[in-house]
Amino acid sequence: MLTNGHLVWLILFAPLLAAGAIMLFTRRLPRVSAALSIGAVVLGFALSLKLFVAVLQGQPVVAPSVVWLDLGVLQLTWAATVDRLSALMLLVVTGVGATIHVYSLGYMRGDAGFARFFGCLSLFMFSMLGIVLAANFIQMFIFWELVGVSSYLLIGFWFERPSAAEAGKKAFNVNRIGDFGFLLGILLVGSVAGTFNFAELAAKWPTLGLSAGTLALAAGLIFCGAVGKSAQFPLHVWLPDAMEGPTPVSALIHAATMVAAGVYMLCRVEWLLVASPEIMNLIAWTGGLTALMAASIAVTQRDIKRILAYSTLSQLGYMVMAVGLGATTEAMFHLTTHAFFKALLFLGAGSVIIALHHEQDIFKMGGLARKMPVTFATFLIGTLALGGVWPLSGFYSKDAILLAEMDKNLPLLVLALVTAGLTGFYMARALIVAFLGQARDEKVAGHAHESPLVVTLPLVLLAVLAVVAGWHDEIPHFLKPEFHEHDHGSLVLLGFLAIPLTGFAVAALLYGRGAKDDAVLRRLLGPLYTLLENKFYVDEFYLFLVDRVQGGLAAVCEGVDFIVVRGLGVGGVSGLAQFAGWCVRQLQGGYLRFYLLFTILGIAAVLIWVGR
Amino acid sequence: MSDLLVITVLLPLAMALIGVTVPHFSGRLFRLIAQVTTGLTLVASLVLFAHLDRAQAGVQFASIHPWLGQKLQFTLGLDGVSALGFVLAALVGFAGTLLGRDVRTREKQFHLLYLVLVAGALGAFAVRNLFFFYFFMEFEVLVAYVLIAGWGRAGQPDDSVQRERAALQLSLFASAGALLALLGILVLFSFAPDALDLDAQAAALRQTPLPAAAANAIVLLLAVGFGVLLSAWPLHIWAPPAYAAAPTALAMFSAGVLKQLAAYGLLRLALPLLPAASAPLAARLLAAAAVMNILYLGWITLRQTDGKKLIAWASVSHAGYLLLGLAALNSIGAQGVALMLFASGVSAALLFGLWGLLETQTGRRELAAYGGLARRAPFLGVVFTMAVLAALGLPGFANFVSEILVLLGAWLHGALWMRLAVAAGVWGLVLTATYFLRAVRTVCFGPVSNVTAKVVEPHAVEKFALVLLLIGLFAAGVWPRLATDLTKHSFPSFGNLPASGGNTRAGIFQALDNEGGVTRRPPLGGRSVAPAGTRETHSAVGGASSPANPSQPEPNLAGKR
Repeated sequence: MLTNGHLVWLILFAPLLAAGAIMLFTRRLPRVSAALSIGAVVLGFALSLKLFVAVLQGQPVVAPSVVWLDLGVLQLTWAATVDRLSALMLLVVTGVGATIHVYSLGYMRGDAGFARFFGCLSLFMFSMLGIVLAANFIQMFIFWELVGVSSYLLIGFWFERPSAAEAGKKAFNVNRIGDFGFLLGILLVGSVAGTFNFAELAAKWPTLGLSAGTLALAAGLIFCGAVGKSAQFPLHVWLPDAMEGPTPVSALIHAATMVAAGVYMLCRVEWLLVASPEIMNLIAWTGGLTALMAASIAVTQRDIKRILAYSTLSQLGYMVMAVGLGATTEAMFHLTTHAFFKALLFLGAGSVIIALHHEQDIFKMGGLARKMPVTFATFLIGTLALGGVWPLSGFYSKDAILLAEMDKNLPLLVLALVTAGLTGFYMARALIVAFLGQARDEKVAGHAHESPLVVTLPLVLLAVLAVVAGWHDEIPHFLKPEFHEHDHGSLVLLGFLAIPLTGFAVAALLYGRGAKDDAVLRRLLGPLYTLLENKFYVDEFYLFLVDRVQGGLAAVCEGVDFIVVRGLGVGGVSGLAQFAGWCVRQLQGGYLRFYLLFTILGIAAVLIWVGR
Repeated sequence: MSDLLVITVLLPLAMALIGVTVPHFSGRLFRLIAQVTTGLTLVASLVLFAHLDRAQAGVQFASIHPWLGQKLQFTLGLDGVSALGFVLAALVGFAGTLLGRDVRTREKQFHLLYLVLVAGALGAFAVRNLFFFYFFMEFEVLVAYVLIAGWGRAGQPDDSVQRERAALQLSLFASAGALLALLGILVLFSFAPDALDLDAQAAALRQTPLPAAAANAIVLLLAVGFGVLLSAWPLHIWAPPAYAAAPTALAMFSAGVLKQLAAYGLLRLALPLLPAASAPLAARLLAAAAVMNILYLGWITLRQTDGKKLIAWASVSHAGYLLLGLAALNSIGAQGVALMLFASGVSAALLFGLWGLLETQTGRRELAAYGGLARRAPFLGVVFTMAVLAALGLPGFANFVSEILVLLGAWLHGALWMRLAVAAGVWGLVLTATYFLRAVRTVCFGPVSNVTAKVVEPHAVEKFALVLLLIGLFAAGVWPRLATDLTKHSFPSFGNLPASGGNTRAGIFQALDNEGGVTRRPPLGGRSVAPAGTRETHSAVGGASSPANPSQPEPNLAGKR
């Protein structure tokens, strides 16, 4: 009889089996491949619901575990963590995952790599669910790397496009830099505490009596992993480029789930972070700065997917900021609602992109609202939810974070409010420019029409979730039954609501009359616009570091190896041998007079030695 | 089973001898002989591997063949670590015969010599006597020299000069190294004639401990000797040109087996002789070489534009992880090295084999000429990508587990400089990703280039070889207990160094810095169950023998220092 514990492993391994079957057997059968992949994720969703209910009712769920690595002195067990945190995350990942799988049927129709796409998608689901269920650091790191590689494969899905191939490579490399810290952090925590297991660590860590420096180092190194995966400053550069992947991938991996894995991980190791107030502060400020920086860049972007990508960075910044303030419940709340409305927005953008035959510049769109009513309506819901408008889910989750800040860190509150205003502005800008007014480019937007049901149905489903997910604070209450919102009266909430609305209004003012391009904004912002347009030149700085600094170092190493080691070292040895050979050769040059000379010298030497 | 072991070692040698008598009808015949022979060897080695008793730590399938009286016996046998190397040699040997199609001249000689090469490696892993280990290793160098000089191609305008230079460099370096190693063995022989037998070594040395100076000298001589073949910095110079010049099968075998053989030699022969007093210095030297291999040679690898040279440099640079695992001087690091022997060997062979397939079809070696392989030949593209992902340590492949173990082992050493070396090692993983992903990006992705357009999918035989290597990496990566169950008792004590805790999981860790920061305690100097300050009572007893009786240390070398 299958217990809930067994079901946990079924949730995890069903997508792997699907991926394996697709890769090995059904690569040439697109329909079968899609059916396998979708079947696995729907099964996972159904089982996740069952687990969710079980956890809600307080039944303990213990998955069977097995010793995976036995070193004699150390054993690593393969186990699963099923608690409120992971039960919620399972539901989000499989739920959003299922809708996006279905959506992909429409979006990827006719693509030569249809089966490969679903294979990679299933591989991703496996890896992501592995992170959610991981019971120890090593297990988490394994899946952490696996989501990285599935993201790499999916960003570079259209690998013949050089930009896509480059973007995949960049994502992998930048994530590896974050993992550099993460892995060292894991080694440090494991060696200090004597275990990698989360449950044991959580109980043990505060009792070890470690020095503040060690605590800060451990927390900081682990945080590095989240900085890479959740694309926080200064490792945020890969996420906008990751938009080269197919839009369902952007929605699932680079908006709703994988990038949130960093936040999830931080919530999972809360015990580690709270032990070091300095690092908590660092985390909060990293998140806050990322939120502001990304939102301000989003203001100047023209590519609809890149606007959403910077928006994702910004919202992830909110979540990380919340973690840094100790408000992990709020962070997970926002993670959940964000997964719904950001997936919705991306899928809406995808629907537009299909209709416009892969045109992504918003200033070539316009007037889509009448031609694509369902897409417009759902995109509008997504925009309002992201902006934080009552009574949509984003309002509740974002305000939960803002209220937590109000209690703990006022400068960050200001920063977050400015970000909220910017968020309202750039989302309204995208919405107005793309959907309202007249078609700016008749060739592109003139003949658009609504996408098929397989595309719009997921939109509607996600739109419903984006509306209701925040009501009654159900999610934070599930995570933490004793959760209660910081109460500051309705006036404060009204103030919070006013800020994004101001952003909406400014955007309506600037773009409402059918602006052809960003000229007005450019004039208003002056040189700041150029700075934002170029994303603060962070990419250029990294290019300099990689090409000049590391490249220069590599060139120096090569030169040293060639000259010193090879030239002087080996050359020296062989030179010595040659010199010795030359000396000996002189003794036998074939000239009689030299032989005679040597003979005389020899006799003289012997005589001198004897007569001494 | 012990007979099977003897037969497995001797089979390639016997076939080579029989082959000599066969007239040179066609090259394909000898290739077939080599394929069938190595195929049988692989099957036999897997049978042996499967029959190893996992509950037992010691040597199995042992057989003794007296040679020079009682002192010098030809003893064969397998334990956990050498079994991994044995399977590795058989696997890579077999894959090499399937993939190495770039030899077009004097095929009879090549394939027969190759069989000798395989036999030598199998023998070196299976032999339990220091003298014969040395003999087999020397033998390998000699054969490798002949194969590179005779069949190599360097891909330069002036091929013949380059390849002879590469071959000469290989043989000069390797001979110099071998000479030092021989000197070390002779010194050891002069002090403790019985210690030549690896299994009697510990017992023999317990009776007559070596003077510390002699022990140090022996370890140093052996380390330098093996270090050459391992391509440890600064003895690495010969390796990249030699690998790059070697014909495919030989490149696979020398980067995939011979280097690992040297690491095995260090792990099994040199370090166990280490007197406890010199352990810190040895660890420092090994760690320094490891960092140089990983970073300095890694940076040089970044500069490579020639595909085969890139793979060659990467393989040389990755020897740093083997060194790092050795420097840890503890059980986890050693087990990491044991698994890494297998993982790094198979993945290097896989990369060289793949590159050989591409190069023989296109005749081009510069990466930039390629592009769009995944479109042109999807199978090759996928396998290339997987091979690279394995080499950069993706979970699921054995490389990942072995790297984690090596890094963990070195981290547990505890000293600040060792932790910095670990940090360098982790940064090396970033470097690896940089150069390997760049290679994948160039070769597999992007539009199909003119050069790539000449590539066709490999034959079924070659596909089989590639898949076989991948399966090897997968098997040990998904279920690492295949390897660690065999090695977990192999290092109850690390030579003269104290054992790392009993079976208690926390033991090994708690011995380390409870402050988490930095302590300069000697490696793994304590166990949780023993009272504090018991450095002299460290037990060499592994978890297997008597974890329940920790207070009564078995007499071992630790007490004799």
